[in-house]
Amino acid sequence: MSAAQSIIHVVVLVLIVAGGALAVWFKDLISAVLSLAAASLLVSLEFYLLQAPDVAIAEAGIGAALTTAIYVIAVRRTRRKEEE
Amino acid sequence: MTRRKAAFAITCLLLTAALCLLVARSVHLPGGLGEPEYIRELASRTGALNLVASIYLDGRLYDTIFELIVFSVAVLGVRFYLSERRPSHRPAPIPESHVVRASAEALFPFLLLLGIYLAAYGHLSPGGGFAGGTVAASGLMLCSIAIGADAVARRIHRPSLERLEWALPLTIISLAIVPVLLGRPPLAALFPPRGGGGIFSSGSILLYNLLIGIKVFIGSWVVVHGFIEHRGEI
Repeated sequence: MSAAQSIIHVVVLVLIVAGGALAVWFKDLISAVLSLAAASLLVSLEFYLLQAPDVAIAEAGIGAALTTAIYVIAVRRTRRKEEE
Repeated sequence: MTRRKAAFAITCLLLTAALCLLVARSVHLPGGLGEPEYIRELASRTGALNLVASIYLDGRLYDTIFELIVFSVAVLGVRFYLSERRPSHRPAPIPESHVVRASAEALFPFLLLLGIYLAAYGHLSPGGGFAGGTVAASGLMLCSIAIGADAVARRIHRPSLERLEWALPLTIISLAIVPVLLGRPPLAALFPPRGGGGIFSSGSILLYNLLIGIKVFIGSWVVVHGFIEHRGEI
């Protein structure tokens, strides 16, 4: 693995962790859901970088799109802010 | 307090970065291993350019069939346990955003088309029935967010949807058995592969991908709509 590839991998992996941490951090649940979707999209990018495009498409379709839509519907029908 | 939390988060991120760097430097991805013999043999037998599709829809078709049965049982479980509960009292409709509604109307046909493309070209490019079905279903979810799930459900004929949902796995299982009746080994290619990289190049993989795509599309919608309808009781 070349140095440039390593740097891209590390950047993507750190952003995934940052997205997951922000999902826990945000009190606004829509923001939390969106950061989770961003993390999921980055996982999909990582799958693509690891030469698994089939898994990347499945992850983008399920993790980033379908799950996010379900969460958004659920949040809209309940409370938007997390309780302190 | 917030500053301490931020410092904690930044420390965690830096530690993760260091860990990632260590892992990335030690991992060596297999680049030039070459293909094992059985994969080349399977690819030439099915005529599919996407080797993953030729494995899970020909060589390991029974795995996929059981995966489909697991999905069907999950959908059945959701419907069975929710049917005992009354639909909940619906909250007042949320004022719709014009931006969301306009973008959902613009995006839905393209998402549906992308889903069909992923399912139909699953044997030639990355994709397949499962991914195509979920992409198309996420288009339907987008419409549910924009105009409300009840408005989407009113445009879909529910009894025929439920019948179709069970007819599809039965069709797929029957199709897998058909080669036995013709005196060939079970789960083998239904149609002879033609090769050449066209859309009909790989025999029955196209048919299986399309059927699985429709099944996943309907199943996802049935599950999500069931949960939305019985909101508050779960």
